[in-house]
Amino acid sequence: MQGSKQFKRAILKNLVLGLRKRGVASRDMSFHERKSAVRHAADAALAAARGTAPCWSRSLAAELSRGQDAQLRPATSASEEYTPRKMTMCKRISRRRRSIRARPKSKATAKAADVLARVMVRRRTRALRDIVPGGRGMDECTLLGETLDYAVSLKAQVDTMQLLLRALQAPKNPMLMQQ
Amino acid sequence: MQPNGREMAGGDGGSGPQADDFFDQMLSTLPSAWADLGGAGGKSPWELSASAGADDHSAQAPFGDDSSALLTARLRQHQIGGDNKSSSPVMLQLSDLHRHGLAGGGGGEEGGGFSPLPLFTDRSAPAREEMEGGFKSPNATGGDHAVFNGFGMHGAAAVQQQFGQGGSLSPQSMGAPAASSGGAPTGTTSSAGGGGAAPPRQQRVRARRGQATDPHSIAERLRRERIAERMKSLQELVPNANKTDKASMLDEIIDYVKFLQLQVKVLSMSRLGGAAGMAPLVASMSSEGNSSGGAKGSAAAKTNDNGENGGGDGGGGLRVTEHQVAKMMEEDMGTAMQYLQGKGLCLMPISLASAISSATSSASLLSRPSLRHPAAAVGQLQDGNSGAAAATSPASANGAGGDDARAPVSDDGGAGGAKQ
Repeated sequence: MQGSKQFKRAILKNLVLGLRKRGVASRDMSFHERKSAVRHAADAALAAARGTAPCWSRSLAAELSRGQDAQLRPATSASEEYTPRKMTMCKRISRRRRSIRARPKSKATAKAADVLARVMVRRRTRALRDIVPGGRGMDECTLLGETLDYAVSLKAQVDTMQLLLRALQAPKNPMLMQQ
Repeated sequence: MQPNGREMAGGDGGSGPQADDFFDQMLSTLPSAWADLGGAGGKSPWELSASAGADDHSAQAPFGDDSSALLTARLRQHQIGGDNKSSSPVMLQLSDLHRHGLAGGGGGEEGGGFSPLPLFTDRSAPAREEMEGGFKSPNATGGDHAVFNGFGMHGAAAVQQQFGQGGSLSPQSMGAPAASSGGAPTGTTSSAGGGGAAPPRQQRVRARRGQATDPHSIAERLRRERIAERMKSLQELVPNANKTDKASMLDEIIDYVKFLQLQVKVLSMSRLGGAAGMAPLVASMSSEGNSSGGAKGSAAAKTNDNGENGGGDGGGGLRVTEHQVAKMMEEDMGTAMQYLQGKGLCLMPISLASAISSATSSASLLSRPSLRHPAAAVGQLQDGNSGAAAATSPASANGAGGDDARAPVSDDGGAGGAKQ
């Protein structure tokens, strides 16, 4: 759906600009520094290319800006989004715990399988929430929608990075041969 | 279709002028509801928002429940006004229409038995706001959900040309399932419906609140339908998703997203060599080794930066290292690579190692095209003399070839490399 060329091009452009800006080409970075710089640039490129429409994009951007100690992005809107989400998340957790505790006591054994299925689904939903950025403050329905969008965008990001990698690495050898 | 709609609107009996007014408002509110709900199927809501702008989507989101509530209330008034006779022909014509025009998304599961009407549109904002102002009621009562059920909320592809006709048809069709699913509320609606042709908005709100037919189950149903929609679209996206069970489907989704994230992580490691250009030997080569090793889950190209002849000195010690590395590889590739890197060793495809050992000058290495191709077979991780050769990605082979070419120092010193 969204693996559109336009989207990938946007990611690529942002990525190249970001990499150049972070000075990744310099030699005095350690392995880990460079890796995190590239990763950071890639995530920022993805979030920027996707825009602010989906929730995960906004929370990803907020996470990235929080991670940067040097730059203090104002991002008050992001923090405002987060605190109510945390509150709803806490409420949801307590609600969930209560309901999980309550149900097995009241249901008959015949419905135990049903309960188990529901518990399993809930566990996995929780895992999904951990994976998708900003998944904490969403109900299940929006979470699934966000996951969909996030997966598509990730796929586009991976394709773009692979493309870039191939482009950067391939022509080196013929160039060197001339030396 | 247009004449059909008009006929039905005319043949409504009970409230003629009211019907027009009603339909106008229907037409304006329905799109907002549908843009929110129907998006997940044919067009993802994100795509919609991406194309139409974030504002539209976020603006439409809060409208869904309100407009649905409005619809329900209106329909009930209409329906109960005594149009039960006309509703069935309406439904028949509606189903005909649907059969003809719509890419129906699995309708017919709900009471109405007709496919849903996708009503995406670019309705004027003022109409929407007007609706919103009037119907901002916090509760989505059972009636709303009955309406949605009747509509069958499987967002089919937007068929905008049908919108005009569909809009006029849908209210009546919705009235039928709404009535069928919620019998009790009719009493309250009729009391409210007696308010007149275009009852003021407050009355409609009151009427809605009065209808509490099992709101929980209907809300649950609505929620479940939404989730089912999204699960379906996720199923199409994720490969190997032939599971019907929700839990296993979620498992697949989680694994897929984790896999993609891992790919990004690994690609960001491999980018180091490319973007960095001629990085220092150790750093670039070992990093590229690590990266492509992570990428394919197998070992990557090796270089030996110490210039030690692995085969010669301390053969016993190296054998121990080999065992160690083989053991670590079984559990985690990353730590194995780091271990090797710490020792100043790396993993190398067999053909490359043989090429290096047999080469006398870097020039001959450069000229070998084989360096650019993946050299070794998959999964040949062995202890002992055959060495730990494994599959290499083209990237790593390229990287290895490139780096070896760029780094004559390691070639000279690394004849034989760390391959054992």
